Amino acid sequence: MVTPSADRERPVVSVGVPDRGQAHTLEGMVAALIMLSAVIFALEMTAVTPLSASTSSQHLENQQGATAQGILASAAETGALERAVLFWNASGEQFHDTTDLGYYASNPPPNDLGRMFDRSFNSRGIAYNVDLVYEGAEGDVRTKELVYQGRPSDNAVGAGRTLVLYDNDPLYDDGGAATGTNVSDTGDYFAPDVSSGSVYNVVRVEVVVWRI
Amino acid sequence: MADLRPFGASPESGARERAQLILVAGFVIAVVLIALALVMNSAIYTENLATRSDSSGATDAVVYQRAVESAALEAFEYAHAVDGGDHASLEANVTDAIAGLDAVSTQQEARRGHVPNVSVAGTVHGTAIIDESDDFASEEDDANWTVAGGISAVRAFNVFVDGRSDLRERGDDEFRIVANDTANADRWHLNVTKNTSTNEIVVGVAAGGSFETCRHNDDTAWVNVTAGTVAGEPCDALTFAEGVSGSYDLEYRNGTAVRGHYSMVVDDGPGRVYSSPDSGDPRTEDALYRMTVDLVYRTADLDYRAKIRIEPGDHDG
Repeated sequence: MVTPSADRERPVVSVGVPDRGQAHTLEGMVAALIMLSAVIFALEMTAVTPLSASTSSQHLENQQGATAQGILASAAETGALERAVLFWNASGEQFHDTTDLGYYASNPPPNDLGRMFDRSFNSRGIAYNVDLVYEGAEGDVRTKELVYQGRPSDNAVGAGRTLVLYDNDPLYDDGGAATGTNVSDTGDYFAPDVSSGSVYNVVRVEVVVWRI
Repeated sequence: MADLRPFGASPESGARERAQLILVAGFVIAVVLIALALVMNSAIYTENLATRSDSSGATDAVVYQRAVESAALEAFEYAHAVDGGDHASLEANVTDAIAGLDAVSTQQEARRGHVPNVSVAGTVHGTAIIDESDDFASEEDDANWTVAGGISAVRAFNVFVDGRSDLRERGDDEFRIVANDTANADRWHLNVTKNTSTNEIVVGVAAGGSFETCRHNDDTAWVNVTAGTVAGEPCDALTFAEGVSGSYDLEYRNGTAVRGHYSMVVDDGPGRVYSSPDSGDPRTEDALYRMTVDLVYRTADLDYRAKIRIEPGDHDG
């Protein structure tokens, strides 16, 4: 009488299969969730900061790059850029009111260009460095820091603007007014006179911007 | 854990394989989801890069062009202000300046993989005519005279009018500046008069059969003839030599009916040279009317070329 009892068992199997199919699907999903949770957990272990690369950072890079470019363009048109580069204290051999290190740090330069940076970046928690790239006396390319706020992050963006200084361009005093001293009259300016003609030097103002 | 065995099957009959299957399915789903997220992210990133306008360095080229434009203008003005010599000396001065700019900036741009080249393509000689003597009469004290004959362009034409004395009401003896193209019978003129009842200086422009005025309520006014401004305010009617296309004579009429001074740069010899001026006479100086600068800017993906025309105070620009 073994065979009949085996026949009775088979219908029970066919009734039970659909329930188990659902269970298997659910298990699959739960396994996936566990996997994803593990990935998320692993990502959380590495600190995600505002400096971490992400899609939104790329858009911010675009915006910050465009802002820096815009500031330089408008400063160049109004002459603020040239005044900032010539904002030089000939007796102290550095820019007016800088830190002991010879460049501006957390406070922007006290001139029109500095105020433009201040309005656009300082108030929004955005850091920036401003470098002046010029030709040295031996024909080499040198860099003078105008503003240094730290080492840029991986998400930093840059913008630059070329500025030509002429022999008769005046230095500016700490109030922003032109002094009687031309850039070619003083030997204490950071950039030397590299051209026999009326051009004194060519300074490329480079701005690096990043979020902090 | 759900029962992975078919009901009644022994643990040895394939249950282990099905448990593996479910785990593998879980893995596959997780991997697919992560892959989807990656694909989405890279699509957004690609779009972000693709919509950046400066991927080929075109923005850099335009920014550099703008820097060269302002530098070339400064070199042009420097040459006239500091050098002040003859045409050859002025040309040498601007050519040296542009060569110096080119040498230094090429080195700086080359660090970024960009190669610019800037050179002076050519200059147009001109003559500056200046009279700071409070008098609009000629060297021979004529009231009606030709300031410059056979010219085709004037730039930086500024007239300072002192309305406190001599400036007339509108009429036959009013002061006029005339651009007279006798060959084509084209004529443009501007008059400067005083409205004594309102105490205004009135600048009237006759062009193309119409006559329009701009007013300034003060005793004195700078009229920038080529820029089209009266005392710094834009004057819509004032477009220098409008309707005069060929070469023309620039004439003053009733030069004794106004007090003030003037300066201009014309694009040719004035037809005469005011060589030995008395204190009350106009004088001429050699000047460059225009300078053209060739700009080439190359990057890996871009070959950008432009001609920059330096012509400060030009009425076309």
